Amino acid sequence: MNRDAAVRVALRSVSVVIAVAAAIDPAVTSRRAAKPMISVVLSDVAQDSTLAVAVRRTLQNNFTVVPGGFGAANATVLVGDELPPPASDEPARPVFAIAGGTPYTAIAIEAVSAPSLPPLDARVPVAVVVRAHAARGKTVEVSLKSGQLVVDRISRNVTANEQDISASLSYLPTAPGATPLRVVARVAGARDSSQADLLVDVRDTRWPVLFYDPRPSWMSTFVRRAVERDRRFIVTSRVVTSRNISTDAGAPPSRLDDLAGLSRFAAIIVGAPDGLTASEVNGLDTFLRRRGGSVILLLDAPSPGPYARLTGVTTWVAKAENPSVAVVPANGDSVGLRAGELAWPAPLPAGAQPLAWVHDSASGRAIIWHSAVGAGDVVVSGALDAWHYRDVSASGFESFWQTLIAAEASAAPPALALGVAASMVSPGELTHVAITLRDAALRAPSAAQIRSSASATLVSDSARRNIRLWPGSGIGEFRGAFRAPLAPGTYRIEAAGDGVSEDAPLVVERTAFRASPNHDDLLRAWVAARGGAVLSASELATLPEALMRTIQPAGRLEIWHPMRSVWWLLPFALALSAEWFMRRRRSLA
Amino acid sequence: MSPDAEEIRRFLARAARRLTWISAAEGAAAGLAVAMLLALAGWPARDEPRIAVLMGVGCVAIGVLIRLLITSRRTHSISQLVEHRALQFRNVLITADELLATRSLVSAAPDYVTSLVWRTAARTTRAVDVAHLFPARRALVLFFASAVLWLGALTRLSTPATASVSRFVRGATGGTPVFDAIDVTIEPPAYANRPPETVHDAARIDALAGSRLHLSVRTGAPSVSMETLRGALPLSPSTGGRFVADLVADADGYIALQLAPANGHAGARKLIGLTVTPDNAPRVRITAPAKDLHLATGQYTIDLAAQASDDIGLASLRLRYTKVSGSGERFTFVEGDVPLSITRRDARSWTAHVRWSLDSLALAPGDMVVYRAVATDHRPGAPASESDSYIADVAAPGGNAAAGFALDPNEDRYAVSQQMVILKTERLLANKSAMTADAYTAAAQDIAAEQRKVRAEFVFMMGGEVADAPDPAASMTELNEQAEAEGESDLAAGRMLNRGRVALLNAIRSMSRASASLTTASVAPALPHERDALAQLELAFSRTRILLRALTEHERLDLTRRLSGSLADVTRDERPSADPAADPRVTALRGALAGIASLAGTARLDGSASAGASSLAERVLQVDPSDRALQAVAMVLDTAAAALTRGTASDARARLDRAATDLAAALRRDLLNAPAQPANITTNRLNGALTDALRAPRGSP
Repeated sequence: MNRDAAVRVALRSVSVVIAVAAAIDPAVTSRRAAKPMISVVLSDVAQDSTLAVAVRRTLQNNFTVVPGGFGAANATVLVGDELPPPASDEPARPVFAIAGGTPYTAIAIEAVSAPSLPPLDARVPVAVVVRAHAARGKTVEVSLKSGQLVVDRISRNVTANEQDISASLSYLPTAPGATPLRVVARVAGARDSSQADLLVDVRDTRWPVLFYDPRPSWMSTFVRRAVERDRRFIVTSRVVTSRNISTDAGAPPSRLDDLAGLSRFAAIIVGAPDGLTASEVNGLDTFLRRRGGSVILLLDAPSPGPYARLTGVTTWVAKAENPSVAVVPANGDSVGLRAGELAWPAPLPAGAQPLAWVHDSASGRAIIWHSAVGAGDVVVSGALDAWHYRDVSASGFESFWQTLIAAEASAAPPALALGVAASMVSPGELTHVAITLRDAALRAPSAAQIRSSASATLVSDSARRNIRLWPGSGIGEFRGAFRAPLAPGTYRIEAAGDGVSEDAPLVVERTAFRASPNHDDLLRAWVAARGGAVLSASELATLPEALMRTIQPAGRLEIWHPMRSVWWLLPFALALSAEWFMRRRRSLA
Repeated sequence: MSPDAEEIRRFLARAARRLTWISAAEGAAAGLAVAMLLALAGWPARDEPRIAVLMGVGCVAIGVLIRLLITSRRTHSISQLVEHRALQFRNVLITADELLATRSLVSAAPDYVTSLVWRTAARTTRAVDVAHLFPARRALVLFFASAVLWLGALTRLSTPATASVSRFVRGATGGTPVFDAIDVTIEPPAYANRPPETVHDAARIDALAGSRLHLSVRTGAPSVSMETLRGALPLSPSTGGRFVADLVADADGYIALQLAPANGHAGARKLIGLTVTPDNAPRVRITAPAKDLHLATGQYTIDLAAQASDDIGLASLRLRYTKVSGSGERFTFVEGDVPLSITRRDARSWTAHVRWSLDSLALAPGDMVVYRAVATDHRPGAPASESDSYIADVAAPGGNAAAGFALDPNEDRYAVSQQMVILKTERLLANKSAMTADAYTAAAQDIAAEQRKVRAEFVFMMGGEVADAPDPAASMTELNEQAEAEGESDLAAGRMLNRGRVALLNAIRSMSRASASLTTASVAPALPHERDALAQLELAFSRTRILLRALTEHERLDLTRRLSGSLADVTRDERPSADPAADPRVTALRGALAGIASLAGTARLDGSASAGASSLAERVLQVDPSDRALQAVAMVLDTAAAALTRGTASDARARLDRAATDLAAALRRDLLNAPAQPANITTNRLNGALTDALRAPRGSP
């Protein structure tokens, strides 16, 4: 065999080998380096899009970039100065943040908060935090506007170059319904101003509360009369005056151990709780844990009884003060009580927080305090004879109890809680909703199987649009996200599930102003807790390296099929063609 | 000094004076020009013509001062000025002036030279007229021209402002009927002895209660109506395009004036707040001895001093006493006055003192005298004011005065006994002819109330409350012996040691009859029942004197007669839940706030919204005319209405903002804060789980 023939045989052999190998298609397992997947999330769609584009460009060479949240990604890059909305999913870790930097203004509204569902017969407190830059010696004016009208206004002097100023404004609702409000802050004499919008959904709702006295109690009687004078409550009461004999107002439940009967109340106020039976205390415990309601115990005397299971108190201290002393709210409110006979736990049970106390020379005695029991709240009052001093000139007895019971009743969760991340949005803005079904969320631990369903719809005057919901992190919780309509106006989000429904307003405005909180520290902590770091926009070039260093993409075992590469066609064709060419030249073909 | 020299001096002085007043006129002209320019530039504001006048005067004064300061430098060389304008002097006047001014020159120069200079200069001055040398025409023209222009600007300042608010523009211009002038004459009541006061275009009127208000409205509108809290009524047309009305200021409120529409335009509306200051009752007090006195004997002299004051003027100050003598139900009451020595510091503040000898009262042991100062003011029909009452009692052998005589001064001055009821009834009958029917009925009903008090005391003393007493309607004349006989428990309790109980029941029934008669103002028929009650009381307590409130303790209550019954009859008490009514003040103020918001939200804030603002002011005042905060809100709304009429929308908007914030502040006091945003279920559940974990025994899950 000459050399030419040997070459032809070799070429033919190569072709045959390739063909045979392709037919066999062998699988090979080997360790290989893969391109990491990075999720890029925007904290504020409207403000961070340009920066987000720059982030994607920086990463696209070394990483697979996934726009938006993606839990299976190797890491997340948050673009913006704020945390992602609370309702959004937990991002893939580690998380790096690229902060765009807050533009410099003389004044900025950092936070605005107000009750989202205030009752009609109340004033709506609007708490504002304003940050003033380089305005020392000047006056900051903060005003609250409803439509065209200024409804409240406050001025504060700035005493430092960089100062956070807290202002408390209030809005007085005039009718039920969604009311957009705008907070405007400006430095007197300067052109800079800052604005923030908020929405309050005023409702003419009344909180159902139950007064239950296992025996007649003066304290409970006068608290009940104070609450009965307040239009925000529907008061049902039962005062047991003798065995099987009671004085009822409304339609109280037949027994305290019947959760179905109790669940229609947001709060239960118990006078003379030492008269409660063990069965009744069990019922209250169930009400606290399964309904999430509040129980307020108005002690006549620190006597032992089954109710101690709710308070967790082991030792009571009682003292008669002469003259009577002021019982001051712990939140600094000026409306307090007076009492001469006091009882307080020693020590305060674990997890309990004081609501009102008596200031001694050395320390304070928590006379009225509360403690969580399940999802509910227990309030205990040791101001035993506060009802003696209920005259307006002596104390704020009526206002105190009305305020406290209103707070407790409003804290009781509704059957369906609908939360909207932002109620005033710009057209097309991504908005998150969260739905919690109370009965499912607070189910008994023994419940073997829970089946819940929920739906949400965005409703306008002319159209309805379903919002896709996904199961949340807990049982009975659902989450969804949707783009706000492009047309400005007032919309409603209707949610339904497990036989109950709820709705919330959504206002779309061309220019919806938001508070611009300084979340630097929070963002830094949040990101650090997720294994990342905060980088400024000028440090964007170092992001790929930081990601690589943190992710450290290691090689991985992969099963691959080498013969499935199209490149095999090339040597196969070349070998056959060369072999054919050589035979042709020898006139063999 | 030679006559020639004197003539030269007078000439120079005359020239200097002329130059001075010409300069003053020029300065005044310049000042007026500046004032005119300021007025045209809108300063001061249009509706402040008085300030504009003051400013003009100030500018004139400043202009004159500056000009005179400048001129004073020139007048130092007045001779040079004259020489400059009259060349014929050939410097001789300057020389003469220097000789006049410098004595050393005169002594140094030869006499004939000095005489020649003075003679020549004097001769020349005779041929020169100062008026020609320093013409004033230009300065006067400037001054008068500036004055005219300034007055013109001033007129423009005041006239358009008045016109925008008050001039009635007729059909040719299609304007809104407006007020030309609103004058209110406040005529205080005659007893106040105050002069009438007239206010013009006032936003608020303060008047003494009972004042008569005379309204005079000048307008071109065809009619004017007035609305107050008591309703609406038209004003009567008068002469000179005026409409007039009278009303009495007796309570806080407002006066809303409404012009009738004309030419298709709604008439202007004007709201005037009305604050009525009440005539307070005199305040009187005894300053010495200002305490109860316990005397050993009735021969005693009290150094007594009293003070009285009134917001307008006092009419009288007296010392009244009541001598109480006797015991049990046999008390005798004698009333009288003690003359006082009064010192009048002014009409509103008096002091009085007296050394009061009790000898004349012939107080016996156990007697007492109750005294108080009484003051009146000039208000017709006003009740007299009394000070606290004090007691001077003469100690009885072996006893103290009944504590019941030192009652709360706001209650009856002394205990009411059946004897006292009889005494008051007799007095009322005696005074009947001097009283009006209403006053007589009211006094009879007061005595009826006292009679019921006495009756209640006896009913309670018998072991039951008023309701437990025998029903006077059912058994007014007969005693149910059988029922009474069943009261064995009472007998056992020793409450019927003798026939006293029956007498006591009869006394109570007599009191019931007396009370029933007194309630219907049948005083004369009541008196026999009262006396019968007293007789029965004396029979019942023949050995036990009873003076109400002097009793140390009530008899023990018979508990078996209280809340008794069969347990089987007890049922559950059920009532509906309380449904508190909405606070009308909150509702009304909330409505007004919504109205302001609605008005502020109007796309065009112009004159057509003025009536709305005025109406809102009226609504706010209707809620509580006496509330200062609401008065202020109403006033701001009224100024907003005026601003809307003027067409200054930005001003009106600012005032609406202020009205809203002020109204919200007033409303805020009536409401509590809404609860803060509650935590969500997840947070609550976590809190509960944490508490459970903290309280769980160590080692348990």
